[in-house]
Amino acid sequence: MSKGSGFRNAPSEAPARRGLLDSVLGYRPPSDAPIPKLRTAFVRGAVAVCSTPWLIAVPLVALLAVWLGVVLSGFPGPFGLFGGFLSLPPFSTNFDVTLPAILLPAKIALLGGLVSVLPRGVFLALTTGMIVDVLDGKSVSRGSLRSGIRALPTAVGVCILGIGFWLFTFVAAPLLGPGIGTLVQIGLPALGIYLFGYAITIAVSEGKGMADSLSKSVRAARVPGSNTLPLALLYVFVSFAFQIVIASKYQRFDVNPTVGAWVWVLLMNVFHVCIYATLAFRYLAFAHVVADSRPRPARDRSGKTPPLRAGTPGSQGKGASAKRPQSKGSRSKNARNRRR
Amino acid sequence: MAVGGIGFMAVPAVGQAVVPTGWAQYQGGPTHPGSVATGPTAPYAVDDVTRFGDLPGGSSLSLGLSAPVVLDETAVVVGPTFIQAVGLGDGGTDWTMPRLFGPSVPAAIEGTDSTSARAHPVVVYTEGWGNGPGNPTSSATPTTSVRPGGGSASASAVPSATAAPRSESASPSDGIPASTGVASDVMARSLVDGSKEWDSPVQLKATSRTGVTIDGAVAFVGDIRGNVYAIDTTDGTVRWTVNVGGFLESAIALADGHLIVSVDAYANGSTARVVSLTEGTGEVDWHYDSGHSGYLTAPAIADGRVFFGLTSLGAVASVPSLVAVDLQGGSVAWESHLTTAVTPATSPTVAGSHVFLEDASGNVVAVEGSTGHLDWTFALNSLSAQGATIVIGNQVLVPTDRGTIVVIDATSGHQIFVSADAGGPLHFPAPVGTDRVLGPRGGPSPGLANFSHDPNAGALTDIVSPTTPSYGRILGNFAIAAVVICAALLLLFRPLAKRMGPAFLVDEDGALEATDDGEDA
Repeated sequence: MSKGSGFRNAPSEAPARRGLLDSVLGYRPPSDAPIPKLRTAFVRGAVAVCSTPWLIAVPLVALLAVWLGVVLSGFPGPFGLFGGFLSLPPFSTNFDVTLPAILLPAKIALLGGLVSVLPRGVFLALTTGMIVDVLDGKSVSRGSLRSGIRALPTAVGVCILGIGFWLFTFVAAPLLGPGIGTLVQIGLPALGIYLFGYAITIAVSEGKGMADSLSKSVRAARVPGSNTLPLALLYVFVSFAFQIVIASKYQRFDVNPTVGAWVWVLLMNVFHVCIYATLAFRYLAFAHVVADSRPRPARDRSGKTPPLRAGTPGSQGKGASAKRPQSKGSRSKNARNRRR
Repeated sequence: MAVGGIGFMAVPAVGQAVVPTGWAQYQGGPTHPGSVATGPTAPYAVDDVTRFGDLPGGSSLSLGLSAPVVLDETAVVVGPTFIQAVGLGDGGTDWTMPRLFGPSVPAAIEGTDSTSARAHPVVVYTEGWGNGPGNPTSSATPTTSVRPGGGSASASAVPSATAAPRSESASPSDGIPASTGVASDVMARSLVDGSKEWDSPVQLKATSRTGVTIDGAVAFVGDIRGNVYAIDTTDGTVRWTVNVGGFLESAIALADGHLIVSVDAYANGSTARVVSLTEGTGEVDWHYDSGHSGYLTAPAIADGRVFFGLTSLGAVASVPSLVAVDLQGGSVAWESHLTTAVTPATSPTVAGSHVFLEDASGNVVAVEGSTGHLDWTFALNSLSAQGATIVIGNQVLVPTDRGTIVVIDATSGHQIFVSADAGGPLHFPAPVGTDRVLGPRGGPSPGLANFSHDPNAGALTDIVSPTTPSYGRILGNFAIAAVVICAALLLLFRPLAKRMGPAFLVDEDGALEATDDGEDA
């Protein structure tokens, strides 16, 4: 139908009706935010991690400590399972659930998986605290740990959400057959990382609470041009492939890994930490264009909620993710505060 | 960790009294102890291999060769299309009879003693696929009704008129007319010459994969639709049948008048169970319900307890365990967690005060029979889809898919010997007399390998399981790897970090700006 035929109004004359998933899948205008390339972000993340002794040592020592702990508890292997030890939730949930299933009786195995969200949350929060400081050009200090501890509720929340994603993947994948099921096995963890991958960085860098960090992470993921979904998919695909290779190479029931096994598994876990840093760098680069939480409108005396007006922060459409000076200001204020 | 007194107490349990000598039923007798107090011990040499022709299905679980049963100097194995008696030495007999194409499950030998009606031993075996392998997820509805004195096989006992394809060459039971319908039955032959003992085979309602268990003059078999049959071995009459539901694919055990049946359940909503039936009437005594769908090993009975491996198919993962229940009443004595699944083809082995079991990944465990305490684990790291361990004296013999028999000391849990490769995967070893062990070989060239005690076959070793931690090795190897990684990464990335500069610059407003100019489109 030709434009202006008279049978329909031009699209600009009436607001488009919002569909069910319009908030997620609707049109978003391109952003002018300076968002680094995926390759650039990964290199920056990898350099931040691999040039900082603390960020290399902490994952290595954590892996050794957990390995010794589970071996003392009677874990027979395989060591290859630990290739996914420090992966991002919800990808890491597979590790969290598989390990207790081998180690513990059936009735408490799932409970063991739930309990593991706490140590994993602690590790994620502290590591992210260190990464953010390193990316800010500072050295790792007690302040890094303090800001990490502040993000602990958010990190635990992300881990709990990860279990939800994992359970859904576990239920949905077999029902969808081998083809689509495999896509779901990769797609759903990627979706989890896409939506909540920035949450811990937000909690660390901006001192926000769990709910605010999670919701802002979703908004950050949806910033046009952020390419968070390709990053999440790429990470899950690469991790999946490496995990299969490492798991098949070191699938023996053997609790005394060789030097080669340690090297492979340690490198794999350093890679996971590099991805934490990649996400952190990426978020910090465009944090100023991500809207803060929508403020709750105050109720008037009649108890009615006044309608939001255009121009207020909360009224911004999903596509209105233009550069936000106030956000940038608050970010820079945080940065300055941290520098003090 | 000590397994006290195994050497003294490794006496075959109750069932051995029924069959005079040998290894006449699956795992040595109706209780499936899987052990003998004395016999050939390591080191072993591979003496010779009795070769069979190529078998349809190769070494797959339901085809290949069955676990052998042995009486004196004669071993009997069941192949997909034949039953063969192999003479092992002086006095042994050799014959081969065709058999209806069907699962290769163990036969049983009814021996002779002073109370026997016959003067010669008899081999009882199952044959035929019936309507096919069956769908394990479509379990029959369990009933506990008993039909005593059902008489011999009759058309009324056949639930379906659909006949499985049969070829003349694979139709040995010439007593079955081609129009009979379901071709799955039980047959008996003389061990001496292979001649038929019954006028006609006993028709079953579905394919049998349990093999045969004999007590006195009664043979017990189960089928994949949950039917259990008690058959008089003197004339082939059916004494009773009962349906316990589920999918029966493990050997039935028997002791003190209790018939113990492992009931597998693969369908959603159904549960894997162990059912105890009264031997004389088939009435249900008790049942143990796992609460989950799943599958079980064949049970083994000793010292008033029933031992079996259970793999529960839980919502999150399959959960394997070794369970002990009381023979009288079925109450759970203990449950011991295992590492990986256990298959229906295997069975726990009971020797002295301990129970041994190998899981599908080749982890052999020794558990105290009274408490369920795990004494040791030895990880062979060899897949074991079928096969069962046996215990001879104080040595645990584990057949492997690599064609070897690994021998583990029952007390220490250390590997003391590995035999030479017999040329194909080994499944169910069986001791013959005091000087040989028979190892049925699967794979592309199936056969029966004879292992004999030979001090020159190799020295005994003392190798600990790879699952036993050596903290010095763990820390040493980690330290080397960690130093290598730290050094390599820091040497590579620290100069790079200096060259690249800070990740962010602070602009005039104090805001951070990424220093890299590359941006996504």
